[in-house]
Amino acid sequence: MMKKVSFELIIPGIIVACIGLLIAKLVSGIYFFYVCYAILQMIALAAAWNILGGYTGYVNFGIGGFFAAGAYTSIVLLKYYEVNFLVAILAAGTVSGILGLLIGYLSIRVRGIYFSISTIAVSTILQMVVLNTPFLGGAKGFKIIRPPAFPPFSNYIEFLFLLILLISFFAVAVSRLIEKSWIGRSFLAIKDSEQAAETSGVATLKLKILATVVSCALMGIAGAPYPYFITLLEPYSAMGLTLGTYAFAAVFVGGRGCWFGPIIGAVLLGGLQQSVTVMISSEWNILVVGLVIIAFVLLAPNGVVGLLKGRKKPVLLKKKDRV
Amino acid sequence: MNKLVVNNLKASYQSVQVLHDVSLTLHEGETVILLGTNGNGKSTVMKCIMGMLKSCSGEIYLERDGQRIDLLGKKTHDIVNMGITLVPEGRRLFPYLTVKENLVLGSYPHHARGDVDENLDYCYEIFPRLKERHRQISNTLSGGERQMLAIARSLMSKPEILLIDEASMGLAPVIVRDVMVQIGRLKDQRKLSILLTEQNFNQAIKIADRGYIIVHGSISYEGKNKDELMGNDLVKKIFLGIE
Amino acid sequence: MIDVILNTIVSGILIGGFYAACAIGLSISFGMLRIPNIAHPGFIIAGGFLTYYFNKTFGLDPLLAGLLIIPIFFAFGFLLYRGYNRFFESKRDEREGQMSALVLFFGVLMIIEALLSVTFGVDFRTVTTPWSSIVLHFGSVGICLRMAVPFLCSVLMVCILYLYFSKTYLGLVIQAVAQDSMAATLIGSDPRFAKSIAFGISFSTAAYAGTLFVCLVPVEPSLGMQFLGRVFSIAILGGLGSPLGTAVAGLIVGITESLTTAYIGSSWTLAVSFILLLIIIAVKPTGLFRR
Ligand SMILES: Nc1ncnc2c1ncn2[C@@H]1O[C@H](COP(=O)(O)OP(=O)(O)OP(=O)(O)O)[C@@H](O)[C@H]1O
Ligand SMILES: [Mg+2]
Repeated sequence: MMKKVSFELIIPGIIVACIGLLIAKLVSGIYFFYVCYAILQMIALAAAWNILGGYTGYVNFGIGGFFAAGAYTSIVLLKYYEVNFLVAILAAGTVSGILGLLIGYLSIRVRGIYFSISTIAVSTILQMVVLNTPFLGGAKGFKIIRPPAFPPFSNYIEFLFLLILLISFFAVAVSRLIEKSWIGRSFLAIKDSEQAAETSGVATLKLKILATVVSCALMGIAGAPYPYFITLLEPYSAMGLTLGTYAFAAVFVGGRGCWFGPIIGAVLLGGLQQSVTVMISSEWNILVVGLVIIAFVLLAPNGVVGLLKGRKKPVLLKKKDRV
Repeated sequence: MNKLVVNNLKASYQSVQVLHDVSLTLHEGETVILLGTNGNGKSTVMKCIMGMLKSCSGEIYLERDGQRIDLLGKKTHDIVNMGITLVPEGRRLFPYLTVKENLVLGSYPHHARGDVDENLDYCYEIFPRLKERHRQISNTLSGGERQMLAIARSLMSKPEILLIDEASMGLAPVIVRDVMVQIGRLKDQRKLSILLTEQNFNQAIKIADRGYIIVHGSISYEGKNKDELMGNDLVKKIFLGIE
Repeated sequence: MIDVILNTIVSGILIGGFYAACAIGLSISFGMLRIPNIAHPGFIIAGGFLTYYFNKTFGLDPLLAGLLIIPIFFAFGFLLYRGYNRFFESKRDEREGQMSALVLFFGVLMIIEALLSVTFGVDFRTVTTPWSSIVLHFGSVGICLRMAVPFLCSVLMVCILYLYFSKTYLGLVIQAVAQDSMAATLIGSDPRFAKSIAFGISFSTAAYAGTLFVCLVPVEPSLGMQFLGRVFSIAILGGLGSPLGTAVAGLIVGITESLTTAYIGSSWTLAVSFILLLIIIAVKPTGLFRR
């Protein structure tokens, strides 16, 4: 197991970090890093969402809440307690993971739309808590001043870029590890039929909680560097549904239940989002994303990955069995 | 003279064929029983007649005033609107509606709506139990009451042809006898043609005019009348346990 | 002191009735048809904006304008169900279908919001009528017609739906289809038709709830997302599919919110319905009034 982890996480991690450094050195435009940051963050969130939503079939609409929980944890620690960035990231993951545990217990009781709505509930309640707590910035939020750049970076955004690159790599690697292990196979069984999985000896309860905790913790981690990226952290934009919507839309566009689906989806959707925002306006942006989601759900239920794999469509019933 | 004809009916689930060339006829005013033990395809025949199974082929038609009306390929609700109803296996009541609401719903087809009250009275008359309990939610009824309600509900649509899939399932012998007696009366009072699938030979034979025996998805014997059925070796072997 | 409480409760009741009107359509679509239409509040807001538009352009009384947009929404819902049936119900297994449908309607919600923002802008819109500012006094309790009229319309709506679903053939058939679709075909009904009607009704209620909405308070495109939690908690609390249950649940939420606003602070109001929702889901997901 250790060997596997080092092969799948540490060595490729170092390689990714090197590539990131190289890009940071070679490319000089600031805008480039902003775009990359947004897309990489989407990849991280999408991969995290995929662990619960794609593998087990529980749709979490509260991405914004878990993400913001991470962002707020990190900014509170960094600002008030001046901890190390790494500690802030770990703490962000822990806090969101604990919230995930809460949601995990809900997933034992309910599923389908009930579960999805309760994730929105949890995220809205978090938003209310932030709004009403002056310590957390209230409605005005936190204004953040980025620290000066430090070598080898010529701008702080390059450092943030590297950070989110590693985080998104981590999120994707974790989801890949899960997918390829026995846990992934059990998840598939849960998605297929929870009862059947239960009776054939899959510990569905523990696994569902595991999936939610890991998924939410990763969202929190993805949120940790966000305050420095956005420089104004306030509850409406950070915890709104928009951010999360892009993330799960990316999963639907890319392909669910497959570790590289979120990457494809986030790159396509992120690119689209950026170009629409630049060329038209941000309201049209929401419209376009909405249409893309609908188009994929209707026409390509398994996303780009499904389209690439061809006409193997396990989720659709054969014509003659339709009622 | 009206009749329902099933000719060379084949049916399959997924790729497994369960009916092989089933042919049977139901004339006006007759009570015909379709006998067969578990899993031989009785319910499947019923489903095919009602258009509830897409994957069947052959001929199913209604002959009415010399005209032939094909049923195969028609939608279930259209078939019901032609005056054919099925009391399905397992009763299939509307569990959270009251007894009366269930009955009223039975008269949904247009030709039955005019006579709701009259039909309701008739149902209450043949099943007084239902009248006592007309405000009860139907999933709290006992098994026998449910069967009565299922039959009554199908009568509410003023059918000419009534298909009953296992009237006796899960019922105590006394109640089976009651239900059978009522079905027998129905036929006389309402000039119904009844096709009844049954495993309980002794009860069903009391009201049957003739019958078919279905084994492994094909008709293996046709009895022209009661005596023929009772005297038949296959019947003796399968249903009466006499070697 | 007592007066304040009394006034708070009365305004809670008035608001609660309106909430019931918002949630009842969801109770039909999700409770009876099993269609997870989370775009419902979006359609409410859209109904509100259309009423606003008719009111501004043609000077129609909003309550009348609302009646005019009902057929539009009904037809839309009717057709939308046909499409839904085609793409989801008849094609995918239930679990998969529900999950995709959830995401689909989320997309629809986004599109509605975006379209409204693009056409009407993101400002708050409201309609004013001659009766809007009238306040009636009953002892120490003041009732503003701006709130009372939507309340009465909601009560009327709930009653009509209750009667429709328990006393008419088609209403009963819709219930029957919800309970056992196969048996419903055996009584000679076409489930697809019944469901289309029901979905159309659900949309009509959304339209009229929107009308009441603009009469009550100013609306703005992104309110749909905020209302999501409210309508869902009311629909679930009310036992999904029961008009009277929804009405009671609406009142409960309305009164609780009103008390929260008065005694805890208006910034917590939105949390009320969500907290209620989490409690219901954790304790009794079938709601209070499932029969
Ligand atoms: N939905 C289905 N899918 C696959 N096979 C089926 C299905 N329904 C029935 N069968 C098979 O078709 C055969 C005939 O079934 P059918 O229900 O017609 O039997 P039956 O005579 O009514 O039995 P019973 O007396 O137990 O009700 C059985 O072997 C059964 O396993
Ligand atoms: Mg059977």
